[in-house]
Amino acid sequence: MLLIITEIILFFTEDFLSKDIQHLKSIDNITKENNEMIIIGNSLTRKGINETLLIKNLKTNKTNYKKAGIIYLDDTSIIEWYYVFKSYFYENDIIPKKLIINFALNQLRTPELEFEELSRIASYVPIKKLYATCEQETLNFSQKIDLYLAKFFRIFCHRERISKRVLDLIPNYRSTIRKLNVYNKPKKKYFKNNHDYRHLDKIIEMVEIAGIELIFCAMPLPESYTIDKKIISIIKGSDNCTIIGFNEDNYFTDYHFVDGYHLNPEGAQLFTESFADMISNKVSQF
Amino acid sequence: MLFNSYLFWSFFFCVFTLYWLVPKKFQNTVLLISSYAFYSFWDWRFLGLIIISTLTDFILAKKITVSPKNKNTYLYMSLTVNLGVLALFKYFGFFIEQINHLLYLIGINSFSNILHFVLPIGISFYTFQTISYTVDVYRGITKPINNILNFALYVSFFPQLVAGPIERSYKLLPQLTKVKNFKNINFTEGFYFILYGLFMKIVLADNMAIVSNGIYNQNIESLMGVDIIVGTYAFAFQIYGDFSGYSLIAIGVSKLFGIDLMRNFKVPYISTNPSEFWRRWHISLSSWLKDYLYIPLGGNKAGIKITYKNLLITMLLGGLWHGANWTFIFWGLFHGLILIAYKAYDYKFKVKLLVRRNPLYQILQTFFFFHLICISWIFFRSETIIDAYKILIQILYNFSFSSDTLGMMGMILFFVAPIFVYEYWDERKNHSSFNERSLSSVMLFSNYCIFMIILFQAPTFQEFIYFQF
Repeated sequence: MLLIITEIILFFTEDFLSKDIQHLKSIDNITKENNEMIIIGNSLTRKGINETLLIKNLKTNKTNYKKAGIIYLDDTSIIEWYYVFKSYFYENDIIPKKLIINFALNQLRTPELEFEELSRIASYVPIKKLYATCEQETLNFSQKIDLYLAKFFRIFCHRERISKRVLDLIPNYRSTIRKLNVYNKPKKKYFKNNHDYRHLDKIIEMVEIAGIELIFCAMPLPESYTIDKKIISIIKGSDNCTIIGFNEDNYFTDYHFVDGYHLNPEGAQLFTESFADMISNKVSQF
Repeated sequence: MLFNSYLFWSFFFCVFTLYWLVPKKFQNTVLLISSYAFYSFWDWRFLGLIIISTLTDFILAKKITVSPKNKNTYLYMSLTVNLGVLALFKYFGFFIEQINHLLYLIGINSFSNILHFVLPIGISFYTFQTISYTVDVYRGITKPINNILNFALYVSFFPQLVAGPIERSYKLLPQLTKVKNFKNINFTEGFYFILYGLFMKIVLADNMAIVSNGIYNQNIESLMGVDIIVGTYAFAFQIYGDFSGYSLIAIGVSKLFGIDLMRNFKVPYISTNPSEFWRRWHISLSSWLKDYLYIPLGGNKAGIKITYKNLLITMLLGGLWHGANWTFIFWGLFHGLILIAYKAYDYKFKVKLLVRRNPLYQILQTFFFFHLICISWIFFRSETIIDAYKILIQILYNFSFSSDTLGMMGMILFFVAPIFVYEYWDERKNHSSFNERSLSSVMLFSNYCIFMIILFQAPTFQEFIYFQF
């Protein structure tokens, strides 16, 4: 009874929980816009790309792309991007000409699936595909239950968002938890299988079948970072894929970042201009 | 198969259904098979140890009553087998290590330890439970049981097998032999304790673990003193939530089988002195130590010096019970010393009852004593004695804040304050039975637990701390 009441309340109020939910709901509209170019990323993309400027620059560069659908879901990485593209586009026969995936650091590695990832996957995958997803991801018993709970109950699906909203009321919570997490079983999430690129392989396989041009773009961060050679070799192994990198770019200084990760509006403008040039010219830096 | 896993609850659902569906005479068989299956899920190889312990005490307790002349011999045989197995698996490696260290110090070549034992889960708990049965039979408190199946269940009852509460034969055995009726089961009470326990573990303990591990896993020299104190507060609530959570789930699950287990914790951090603390913290162990160690040693009946000696021995062994490490021995020693210090203070100054009942005096006492407990947790949490020493030095000589202090304190307040207020309020009500609680308070608290479990469970599950003991 209590869960039903909560579900009803969340049904009407979930949009107010975060902009991320509003954006998630808008993906259906993006699929209907017949975009020939789709850009997928996370908050680095949300903060890093000035959409109006991008379209303007693409037109200036005389490309065929008059508009682009941009999908930026917070805290996501390759596994979520794979399911977003697969569920919203590929399986609905909505095939763009160009797909761009914006990533940073180790976001092309398949992470160990914890509740956060499962709840996000549950919100992208339709009910009829849940069983197949369990099989494909070889989920264990607990993970399967988590996936189904997140699919059928909003309170489970939005758990992270609600708890973050409440805990953010604690002074310095975000910065404190970020530091504490470093010492709580550090690197566990990726260490178990440090070079697991299953979902990178799968998304490449998908674009090859559909004949989509796929560009991977390494986003700028305040500190430069290197990209695993394995990633470069996987991407170079496909004729459909290209990789461009702002990971060691000297143009971006601390002045261009609003925090330890995200670009500020000036940084976004600078990045969008370079980004538009690079995707127009299809230049591979590697 | 952790209590906070879906796997356990699926297992429990199957056992529960089967238990109430089979004819009553087979109920204990279902529980025994389930208990062995539950233990095998951890490590089937150690099931043999439980069976050895069960057979030994079942046979020897019978012999104690059959031939009273030799009852001392049979009791010693039981103690030798039980404590021998415990010593072999839990302490052998540690003692060899210490002997080697001593030999090295006096310049003699150490001998290599060729035996490396894996610690069987729950060994300390079920060993103490079986010992209590034999001793109770020896003392004439309990009559030896004739049905080996019921006794095997007494030793291995799965809700309390791996981390207690350590039950007494005269309380648990009669319940196991009694026929249970489904209509008499208080489901509200069972689910209340289960939700309460899950909250304590998944929400309180696991979130506090983020803070305490975040501090204690860092390089000690880089830490600020106040951050260590806050990290230690977090550990104090982590271990409380962790262990009391397990006990509460065990109590709740047992209730659904028609079996009552003892309360293991009663708001321990409101204690004003160590004696009170041990009446509130891990009650099943502290009362075990009192009944089977402290009192046989002479208790407090043989003068003040003997009392102090007995307290120290009891607490040292209580510390060692937790694990083969000097940190636990120091933890026990520290508790022994504060017990003695408080007794000596009371003895010398005879603090008047009127003063004791003064609320301000009680708050100050509670505050002071909580910090003494926190010092003991530093020994308990540290990997080595040297680490504990460094932490204490760091607190004393680098007593400053960091930018994270406020965030950590906020987390502790958010997770601890509501449950502390509820527990204190519930304690003040002094209910003699669950039914005395108003339904509205039970429902309100249960709903709070459900929401917190769903929304604020920690991102990663931590193993129960007491499983290692």
